[in-house]
Amino acid sequence: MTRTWLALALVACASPPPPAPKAAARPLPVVVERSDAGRCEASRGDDVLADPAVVGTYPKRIARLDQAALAARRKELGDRNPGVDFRVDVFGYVIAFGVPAPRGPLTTPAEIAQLEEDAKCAHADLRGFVSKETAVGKIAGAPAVYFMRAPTLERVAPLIVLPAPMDSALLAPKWKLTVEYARERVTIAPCEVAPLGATGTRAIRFRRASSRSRHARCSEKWTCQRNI
Amino acid sequence: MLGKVDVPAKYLTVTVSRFTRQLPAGLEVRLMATAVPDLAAFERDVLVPRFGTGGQTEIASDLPGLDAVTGERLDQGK
Repeated sequence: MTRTWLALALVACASPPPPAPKAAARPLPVVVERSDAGRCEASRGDDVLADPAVVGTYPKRIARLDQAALAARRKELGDRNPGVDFRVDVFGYVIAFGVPAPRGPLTTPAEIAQLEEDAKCAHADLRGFVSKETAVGKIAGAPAVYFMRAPTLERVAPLIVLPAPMDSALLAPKWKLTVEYARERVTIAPCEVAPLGATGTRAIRFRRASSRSRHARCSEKWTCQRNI
Repeated sequence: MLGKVDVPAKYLTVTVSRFTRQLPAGLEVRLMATAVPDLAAFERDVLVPRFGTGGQTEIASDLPGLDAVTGERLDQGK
């Protein structure tokens, strides 16, 4: 009997433990896969950074948002990407994001590039962000690094698809252009006033160099000759 | 002044480019056409045979930008 109880105790110890109860439901982390180059290759999540829609058929317009809409946009971005500070322009386009610096000032470009890469890996919404320059800043008093990309005017505007223009043969007659044709302009040149001469007169005679005409204006092509 | 002559469309070169401007309501992107007259060819073909040489040309009208899609004169910042 004692041997039987001992065998049962051994069997009980050898059996696997019962499965642990499931943990409370938590949001799934962003799945990030790294290639050999160390770059993120996870599929993009919801494209929260997608640029606001371009309105109008033609001309295309990007509407300017009011303060309430901008605040809502920033809040939406911050809620989806905790720990990231977003900067948006007046159109609601994300132009920069900042992440806390892991330690003091980052000096080497490699460290800054790694920080940006890590941020992109941790937040799928940042995956398509192409930074142009960096700046230092603070998030809640802690040092942070901000990554900025090109302004909307030069980043988005060239990509907007516009309808085909009219043919040049149709556009050219819409201008009414007139050309005036004139002889070469004559500019009146200042003539030298003759001082009192030996005869006591102040007569000034203008003579053209070629035709010797006496009554004419004094211009570039006319020479002044004093009659003293 | 010897005379005033209208420039035929054949002497205009139309260039279409993207035009972006900021308005109070937002950003606007459209296509704008500009015309550049070929005055050398126009003088050689029209002015000199009519008035002779030794003249001076002067454009009497401006060349505003036209919307390249609608063909209308570009409105200035509404």
